[in-house]
Amino acid sequence: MTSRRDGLEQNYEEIAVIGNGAYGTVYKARDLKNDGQFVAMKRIRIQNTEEGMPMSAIREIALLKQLENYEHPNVVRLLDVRHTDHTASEIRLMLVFEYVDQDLSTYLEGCPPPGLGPDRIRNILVTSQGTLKVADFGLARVYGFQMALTSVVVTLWYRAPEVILQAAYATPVDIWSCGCIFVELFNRRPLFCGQSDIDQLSKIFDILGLPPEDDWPENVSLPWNSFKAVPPQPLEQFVPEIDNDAKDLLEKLICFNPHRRLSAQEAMNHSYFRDDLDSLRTSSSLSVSEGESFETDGRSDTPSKHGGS
Amino acid sequence: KQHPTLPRDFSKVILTLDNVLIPEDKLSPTPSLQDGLDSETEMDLRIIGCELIQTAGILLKLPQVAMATGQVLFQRFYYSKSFVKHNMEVVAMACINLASKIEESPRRLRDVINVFHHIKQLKYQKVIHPLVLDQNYINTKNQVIKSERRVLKELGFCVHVKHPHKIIVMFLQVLECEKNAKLVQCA
Repeated sequence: MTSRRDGLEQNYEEIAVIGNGAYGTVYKARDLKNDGQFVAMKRIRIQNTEEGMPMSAIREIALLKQLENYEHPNVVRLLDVRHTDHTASEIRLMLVFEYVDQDLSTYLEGCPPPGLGPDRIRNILVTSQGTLKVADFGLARVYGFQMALTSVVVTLWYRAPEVILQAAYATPVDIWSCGCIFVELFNRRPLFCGQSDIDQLSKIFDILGLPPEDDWPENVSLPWNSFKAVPPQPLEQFVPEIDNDAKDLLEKLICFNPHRRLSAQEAMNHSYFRDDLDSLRTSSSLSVSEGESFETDGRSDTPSKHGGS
Repeated sequence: KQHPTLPRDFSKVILTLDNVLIPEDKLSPTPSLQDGLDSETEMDLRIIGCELIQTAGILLKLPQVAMATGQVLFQRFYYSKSFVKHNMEVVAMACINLASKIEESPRRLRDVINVFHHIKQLKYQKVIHPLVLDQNYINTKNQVIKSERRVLKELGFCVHVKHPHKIIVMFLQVLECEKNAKLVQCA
């Protein structure tokens, strides 16, 4: 149990502004109490309602704190939560995170991208050792009430169709997003760049084809027949560098029906990753016996499975 | 087994602090003792506060888990702050309000204040009058909002509570005693 007091801002020395978003400002700072190591400070403003602290803010920050118990190597550490000042209408909190120098977009920029716009994936970070770290999950909901005011298109591109359709959704939405990012690792640009909810769905169907009516979620306001029936396109047309294993994985990650989409565990067991681990273990890229142990359809001989990385 | 647990007894509910273990030096002397309160009074205030949370929770038709969470928050808060400086009743209201949000069954602050008002009248066997929405009410409400923020701050937002009740039921199932309704209900 830690207790924090006000007026201890001098513990951190702001160095530069890293980002400025709808949610507030992110600073790079030095933690003066800990040998001046770098931290990322995120100031967030939470509306003070008639009912006190909003439920979403409590739940999300508590969840972040809870996650800390697991000390997952691929999750950005939340070092501190500080209550700075508050007014009658809003509470200002400062979340102190470990500092990671680059986000995935900057990292991918290492290899010049074909037309990567100013929109970037901000919440997947890469350390100088090449470790991926996820930041900021649930906070999207905390920021949510303000985000509605600005056009935050970036997250739309990674949004699963059931979310856009406002149907019931659960963890498969994350798998969808993984699929979108997986493509981006090959192409170094997003796959579905919709300008609006409807446009996003059309962009998805342009590639995946309009799903059969049975797969359309129940009780959604957008009827199935409001979209043109288009046939699915071969994925390699949009991801030229993809090999068969990766293509198979991708198809199962961006499957329209969330019930048939892979689970995280199933995805980890996919032969795409299996092959990668085995080749690391034997330090030979393709061994024959291994190739036969899977019933995959004609594997490609592309040696590099990670386009770009 | 990886998580050391600290069972404590109060208000007929045994709660185990799973994710936050209070170090011994914080358990005694408590902030209230340091402010000159005697330990018996402190224990009484803790018990009364938890009973208030329980009764209010029932009247608010909250799930039992919300009351249990509220009580844990209440207990933890007073290992960090003193009863002398922080009004027990206000903190109890803040804790149940906060717990209702944590357990995804939010209640209106006005209802919480109403219910506490009602309990108080019952306790002193007064004629039951509805709560008047006067300046007094507005003050209470602001105090509760402030107190909620203080509880969050003191607990550093560590407000997810793992309750032992489910584990007890699980053990009973393993021991094939789940049909023993009395034991399950005790959990």
